[in-house]
Amino acid sequence: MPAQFPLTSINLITKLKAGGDDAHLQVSWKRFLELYHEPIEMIARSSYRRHTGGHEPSSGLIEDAVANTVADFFARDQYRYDREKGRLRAYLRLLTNARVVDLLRKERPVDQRPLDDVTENGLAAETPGESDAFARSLLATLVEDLRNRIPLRQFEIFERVKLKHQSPQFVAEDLGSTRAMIDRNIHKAMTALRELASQAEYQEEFYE
Amino acid sequence: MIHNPVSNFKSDPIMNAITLLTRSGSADLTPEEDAQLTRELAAAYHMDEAASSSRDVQRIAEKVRARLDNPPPAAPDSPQP
Repeated sequence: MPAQFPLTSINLITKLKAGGDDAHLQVSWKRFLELYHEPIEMIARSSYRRHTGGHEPSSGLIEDAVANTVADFFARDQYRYDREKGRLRAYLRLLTNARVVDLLRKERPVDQRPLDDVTENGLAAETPGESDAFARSLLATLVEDLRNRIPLRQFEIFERVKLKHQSPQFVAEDLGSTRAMIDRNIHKAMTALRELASQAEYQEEFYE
Repeated sequence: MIHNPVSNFKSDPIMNAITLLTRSGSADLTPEEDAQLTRELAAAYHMDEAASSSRDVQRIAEKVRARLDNPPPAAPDSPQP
C-alpha cells in the first residue's frame, strides 16, 4: 500500500470490513443509504419476482424492504456486517432477500411459491442490473474516499473537470492557475484513485 | 479472495471502467479509455448527488429512522442472513 494512504482508513468500505463491535457505528446509515440504495432496490425487486413467480412489487414494498435492510444492517447485532461474513455484496443480497421474505409473509400473493423451499435453495445468481448498480455504488464510494484522501484543491479540480465536465482551461482561468497545473492535479488525483481502487477491500467487491 | 473480471466486461461500460481503474501497471489510459472511465465516474458521482436530495431516498430514510427508533422484535421464523 502506498505510504500516503494510512492503514486507519476513513472510507466506508474499509470501516465496514474492519470488524469489531463498533465498526458499524463509524458509518452513517444515512450515507450508506444514499450510496447503496440502488443495488439494494435492485436486489429486492429480483428477490420479490423470484419468490412470486414474476410478480412486480409495489413501490411501497420495495421502500420497506430497503429501509428494513438498512435499519437491520445497522441496528441488530446478528445482522451487523464484518468481513468474516464474506463479501459485502453477497451479504447485502442475503439480508435483503431475508427482509423481502419477511414482507412477503405479510403480503402473500395467491400464487406465491413456498418461501422455505426458495430460501433453502439459496439465492439466484446476481443479475446484470444488480451488478451494475453495485458497481456504480462502489465507484461513488471510491470518489468519496478520494475526496477525503487528497488535498481539497486537488479534489476540487478533479471534481470540476472529470465529474462536472468543466473545461480544464475554464477551471484554470477561474482558479487563477495554469492549464499545466490543472493537468498535473488531475493526473495526481487519477493516480490516487487507481491506488485506492487497488486496495483489497475494494478489489474483493468489484467483480461478480 | 480476489475475484476476476467477468469475461464479457468489454460489453459492460461500468465493469469496463472498473477494469480500467484497477488495471495493473503504470501504463496511461488511451483517450478512449480515459473518456469511458470519466463517464462512469461522473455517472456514479451524479447518482450520489441525486440521492442526497431525492425525495424517494428521504422517504426511505424516514422509514429507516422509524425502525431504528422502534425496532420490531425479531420473528422466530424470520430468515437469517
